[in-house]
Amino acid sequence: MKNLKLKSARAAKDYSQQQLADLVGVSRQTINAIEKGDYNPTIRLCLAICRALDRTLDELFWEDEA
Amino acid sequence: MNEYSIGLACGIIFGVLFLVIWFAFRKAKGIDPMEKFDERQIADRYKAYKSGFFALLIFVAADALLKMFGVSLFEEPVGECIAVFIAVGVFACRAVMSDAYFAPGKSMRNFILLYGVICFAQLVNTVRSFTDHELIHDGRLTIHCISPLCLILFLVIMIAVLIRARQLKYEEEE
Repeated sequence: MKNLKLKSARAAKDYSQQQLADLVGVSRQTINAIEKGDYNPTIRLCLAICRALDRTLDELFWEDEA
Repeated sequence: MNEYSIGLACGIIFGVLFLVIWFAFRKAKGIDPMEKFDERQIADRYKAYKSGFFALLIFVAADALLKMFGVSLFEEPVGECIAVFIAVGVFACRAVMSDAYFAPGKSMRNFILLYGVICFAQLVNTVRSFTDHELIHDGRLTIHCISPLCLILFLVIMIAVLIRARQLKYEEEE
């Protein structure tokens, strides 16, 4: 499932995928995979991304119940 | 000690010396000798290792099955070398295509240049193998096939890297 919240939070900060990847210490392809829903990050990576984007875990990674 | 053993020993000594100098240079420059892969890359590398391992198993099983029926396609060390080449090739190609071969920040360009040099060196050995030695004897691949097979391995990996580099170049971010 695509993570559109992450994508929009990244766009709000005007970060490219590479810039966010550099801040968090992963490859650009990893950020791309998370946004496309191809990879589920660990809690450690989720927290690092939240810190980089000044958002909470719920705001970026909580899945709304259908 | 024959010519082949001397050549093998020289190659091993040269390889070890090169690695020692390479790591000493990187340490002197303050470059971390261990590549740091991110968590997704580590997971994908494990999958690639598994694929390489199963490719090796399939080859070994197929070779054993053929030998049971009295069919031997390779001289003794050639079969083992091919098994290793297949395992390495499958691992490398799968890791490259899932972006788990290069650590974050590593340049594909430097790798392609390095592999280009290695392929050229292997090409020289391959031409020598074709001109000076017998590659097939009594219907079996001889030890002189190692250089051409090594060249094929390096070429396959380099082609995988070139394909992936091209895909990444045109990959849309948004």
